[in-house]
Order: sequence, then C-alpha cells, then structure tokens
Amino acid sequence: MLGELSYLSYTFFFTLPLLMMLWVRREFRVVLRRNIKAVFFATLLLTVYGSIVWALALEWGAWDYHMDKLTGIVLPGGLLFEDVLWWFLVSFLISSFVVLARYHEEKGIDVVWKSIRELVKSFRDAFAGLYALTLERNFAVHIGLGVAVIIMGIVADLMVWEWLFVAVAIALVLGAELFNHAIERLATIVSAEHNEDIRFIKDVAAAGVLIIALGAIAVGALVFLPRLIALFD
Amino acid sequence: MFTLLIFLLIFFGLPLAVMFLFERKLFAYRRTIAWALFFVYTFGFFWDWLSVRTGVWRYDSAPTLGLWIRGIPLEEFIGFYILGTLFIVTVASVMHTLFKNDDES
Repeated sequence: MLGELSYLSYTFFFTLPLLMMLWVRREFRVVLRRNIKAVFFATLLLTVYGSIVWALALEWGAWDYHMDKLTGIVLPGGLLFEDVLWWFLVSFLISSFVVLARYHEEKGIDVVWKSIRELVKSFRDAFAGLYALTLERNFAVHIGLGVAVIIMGIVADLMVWEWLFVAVAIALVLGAELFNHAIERLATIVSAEHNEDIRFIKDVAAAGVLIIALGAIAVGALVFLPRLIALFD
Repeated sequence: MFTLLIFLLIFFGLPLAVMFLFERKLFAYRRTIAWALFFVYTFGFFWDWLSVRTGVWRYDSAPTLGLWIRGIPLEEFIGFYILGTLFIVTVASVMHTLFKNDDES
C-alpha cells in the first residue's frame, strides 16, 4: 500500500509519537534539554556505528530488503538513506528515554510507572465526570435520543460510513452538553448573583450546544429520512 | 552457518561485553534497562513483525537456527532485542555519565 515509502513510513510511525511523548511534556523536556549533550553524542555515535553495521549486515546477507519498499536513495559509502534515518530516530528515542529514566531512577522514581499511574488517574477522573450525565434533564433527553437512534440504526441496517456519522453526532451532542454543564457550574461559582457577562457566557455555551444538536438532527435526517420515505412508498 | 546470530554477537555482544568489563556500574540502572527491554519486546516486536509481514525486510536470506516466531528468527529475539537494546542503552548511559550536568546531583 505504501510502496517505496513503506520503510520510511514505519520508521516515522513507530518513533515520532514516542519522541513527542518524551519531548513535548515540559517536565521531561527540562531534564532532556539539561542533558542535551548526552542525547546528541549518543545519537550521533549510534547513528554512525549502526548505519555502518547495517550496511555490513546486507553485505553479509544477515537479512535482506525488498527494494521496492525503499526509496532507493543511497548515501555516500553505500549507506541506505532509510537505514541511517532508522538509526538516527531509534538512537535519539532510546537516548532520550535513557537520560530521562536514569535521571528519575537516581531519585528513586520509576518514570514509566509514574506516567502510567498519572494516565490511569486522568481517565478515572474523566469517567467520574460522566456522573454529571445523571444531573440534568437535558442529559436524560439526549441519552434517550441517542439510544433511540442506535436502535433505529440497527433496525435500518446502516452501512459503516453511516454509523460513523451517527456515532460522531451522538458523541458531539453529549460532549457539548457536558462542556455546557461545566461552564454553567463554573459560572455559578464565580457569581451567584445576576451578572450580564456571566449570562452572556452561559448563552454562548448553550448556543454552541444548539448548533451541534442541529448538526446532529441534520445527520439523522440525511441518514434516516430516505429510508423512511422508501418505507412509505 | 547461523550468519545472523554470529553477526549480532560480533557487532552488539562483543562491544557490550567490553563495556560491561570496564564499567559495571552502567548496568545498575535496572528499571531503565527493564523498561527499554519491555518496549523493544512490545513495540519493537510489532514493528519488526509488520515489516516482515508487509515485505519490507526478510530474514530468510541467510541460514538461521531454524526457530521462528511470527516470521522472525529466534536469534533476532536474543541477539538484537536483548544485546542490541542493551548496547544502545549502555552507549546512551555512557554519554549520560560523561556529559552529566552538575546541577542534577
């Protein structure tokens, strides 16, 4: 499917998201930037060594590439561009990880386990927030409508692409309602008395829900109306 | 015989053994090493498998031990996944020790 970009695409796909995880988070970036020399020289050394070793591996016949999956760009010394890039990104990723993990391990912290625990906690908090769905009449109406639409979809035997639109529409309406509820709650805390600005903010949030709800109605109409009309014909 | 295994032992096993002899302290960071191996055996394996499955690279061009797991020879699991990872981790660790920022300690 990816043709000559296969090797290149896999390399980016498996390294860039992980590198982003390490380098985008401020807490990690501070440590990494402080140790940038270590990351840089480890990456440089490993890229040079690894690229030469990989070229030798091909020479020895330790493994082989399907050349139609490679761009065919050959660097000086007969090094394949993809191999050099593979070593550069993998070395950069592992060096960054080692610097970060070692820094934390010296302080008695398991950085991976800590990150997993933080992630689990954020999901737990988000699920706890779903409790808000039981608080308001609007939520009950939207959930009821959502369930009705899903049942109708099963009966009407919707196609995959139609399910995509229906699922996104339901999720958007419920999500928007939750945001609206959060804004309303916040507004009440900020000012319990009448305040024109607060009122405007609440109206704007409600208008956002209205637009999404209208969009969802349009999706429902486009998906279900032709079937209903066909039923009456 | 066993071209891949010999290759991996020479280029990753040997330098790793030399580093181990000279600086055993580098291997004291057990959690760092354990997580690196964990990620290689999960993400790394999936990447390797996908590449073999979609025909980017192949391991059957040279004699192997003859034991295969999902199209990947056993020596890749022992040779590159363990020795290769330890080699990369150790080099990064050496650099970290060499260029360690004084503010850290």
